[in-house]
Amino acid sequence: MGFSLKELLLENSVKAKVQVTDRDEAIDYIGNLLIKTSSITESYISAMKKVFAELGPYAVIAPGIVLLHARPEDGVIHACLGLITLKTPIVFGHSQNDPVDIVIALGAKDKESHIKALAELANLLSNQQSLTKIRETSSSKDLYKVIILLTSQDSERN
Amino acid sequence: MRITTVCGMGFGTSMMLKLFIDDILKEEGIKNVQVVPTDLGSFKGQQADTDIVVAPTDMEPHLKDTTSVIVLIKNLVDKQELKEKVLKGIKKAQAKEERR
Repeated sequence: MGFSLKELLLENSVKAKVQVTDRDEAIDYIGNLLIKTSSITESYISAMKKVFAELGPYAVIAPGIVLLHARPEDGVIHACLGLITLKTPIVFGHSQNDPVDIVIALGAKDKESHIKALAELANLLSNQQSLTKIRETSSSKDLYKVIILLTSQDSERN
Repeated sequence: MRITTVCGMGFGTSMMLKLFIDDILKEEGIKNVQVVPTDLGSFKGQQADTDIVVAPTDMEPHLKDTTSVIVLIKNLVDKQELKEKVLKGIKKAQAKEERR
């Protein structure tokens, strides 16, 4: 099953209450976090934008939540996850789930090594209480801790 | 029976859907249903092989040509929505199978 969420989500790739004005700016912001941790190259950011533009807004997987990603060959150095919450929600263009205030970016190295992390992420996002906590947290440091704590509680339950 | 989950690339959103659907099938004690994540491009080439396709709501325009039972999900992390719609989809596909 590969890496866990804790292994893919680095502390520096989590930011709370980020201020951006549109979709592209949000993608740039989260992409740059992953560039700074040497997880992706610049080309992955434009690839994420391209995928979103071409395939439509289905990546807004739930009310307020977008999961962005492109292909491994688009510039993933190592498997990674980033998560930011937005100070002001942004319209991504989904028919029902807009506006977005939780932006997640995934960089996958192949089709499988991120599955465990993805399952943990899915469980985290399917819990309303966890989502409320994520949305309420205003410091980046706390947000990282909250996510790691909630994930470990989830895996204990399962 | 075969359920295909579809997203743009076949390993993000569609994989998430597969993981949840596998859980649901297990909970419901439903066996003999295979859940396969795939990307939209491959899906268009092999759609005849699947009984049910599960995809995010906004992917609907890309699924126009399919003859399988289509299940569209609005909130992909809402297990309740997913469960209701997928179980309904399975019943529909079974009915279709019996008519054949």
